[in-house]
Amino acid sequence: MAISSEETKSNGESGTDSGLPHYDNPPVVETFLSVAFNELDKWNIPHFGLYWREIRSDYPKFEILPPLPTAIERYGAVSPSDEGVLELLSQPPVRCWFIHQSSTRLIQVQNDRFVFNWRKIKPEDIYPRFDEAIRGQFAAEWSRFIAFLKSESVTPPTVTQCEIAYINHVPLEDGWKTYQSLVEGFSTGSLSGGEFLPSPENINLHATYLLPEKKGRLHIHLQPATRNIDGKRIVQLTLTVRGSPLPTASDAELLEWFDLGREWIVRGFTDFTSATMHEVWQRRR
Amino acid sequence: MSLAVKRIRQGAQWSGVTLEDKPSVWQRRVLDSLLRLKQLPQSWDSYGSPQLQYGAEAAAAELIASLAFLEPPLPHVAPVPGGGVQFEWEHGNKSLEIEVQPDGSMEYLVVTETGQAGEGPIAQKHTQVPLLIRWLTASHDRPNR
Repeated sequence: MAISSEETKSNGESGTDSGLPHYDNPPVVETFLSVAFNELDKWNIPHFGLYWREIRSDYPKFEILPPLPTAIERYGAVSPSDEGVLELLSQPPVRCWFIHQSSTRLIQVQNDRFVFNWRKIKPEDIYPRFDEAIRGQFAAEWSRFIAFLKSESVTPPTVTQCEIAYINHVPLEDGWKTYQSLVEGFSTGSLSGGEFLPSPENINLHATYLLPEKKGRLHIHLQPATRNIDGKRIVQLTLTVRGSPLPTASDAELLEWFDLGREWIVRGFTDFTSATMHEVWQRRR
Repeated sequence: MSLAVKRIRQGAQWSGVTLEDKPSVWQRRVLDSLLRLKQLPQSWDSYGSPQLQYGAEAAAAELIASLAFLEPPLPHVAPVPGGGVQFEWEHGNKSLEIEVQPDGSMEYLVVTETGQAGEGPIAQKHTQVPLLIRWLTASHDRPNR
């Protein structure tokens, strides 16, 4: 059963949080929840403006971008490649960003996708926590989007896939000097240096893990990166779960799927990273 | 009619990083110019202008990262009264200015070889800014021919 945002707010420590590892100072800089669906019947360019009118008091800025492709998870087959795909589109390819007045929240809309992002903008911004804020905010905005579609006589979306991701930035000064001090599994073997090989200069890694009953797949990407704001060298650790709830999933069932995805991300992050870094990130349980 | 479009595989990520171990020399140099502006004191223009605002700094840093792949000529990076920042290029007989406002929004000003000026907001920076840079650099050969 999905736990409503009201229930989770009431006790501070949420129901879905119980038993999950908790970090007081997590390295997360962004998280997003995405719902992909079949191209909306009757949706066209003017609907972006009409939708913006509904949310403009909360999301006063917009940007236009190319649309996101949909990477559908398949089982028993090759996972989606990172190459471009050729698609036939029935209307100009548009994705619209609607940016919240706080600048930390973003809604992305295109004719087959709805995405809700939270982003750390300033160094002092604190991750507002999934159960205490992000989950409820996503649920409210998704409901508002569905209500808008209904008011415009656009056929309700048939969900094809959901995705939840956590993007973590780990700068060098956060206490890691080598990859084996960052990643639990790199403490032995050639990834930490062997009889001949030195400690790796860089590692670019993509690992995938299947969720039970084909409910989705966890992707862990570890990539060296440069932070644009200050040019500092970091490691970007991205954990993404993609999967397909039933096309007819209710809002509560969608949230249940996101709860499962989020649990895999939190537990996966804890298994993947080292105890040394857990101390830096102030793991409480 | 259907439109055939190659969608580039990209994520829904919003955070600004460049997936390279080190920034390019161009990016490093321009970013250094931007970071130097952070050292300006309050009222640096003696008219009470605030320091570089975070919204302008963040948007300018994203602009630099997005331009690094195009490697345009090095811009002059200057503070703007009110807490913004401006990038200025002169190339051949053309010039381009991109002003980043304190809230991160952007405006451009171009002056053509014939002295005609044009300006406006940059509402679609992902497409407009590369077009402006291509316009600027395409002028390079003409004055020498």
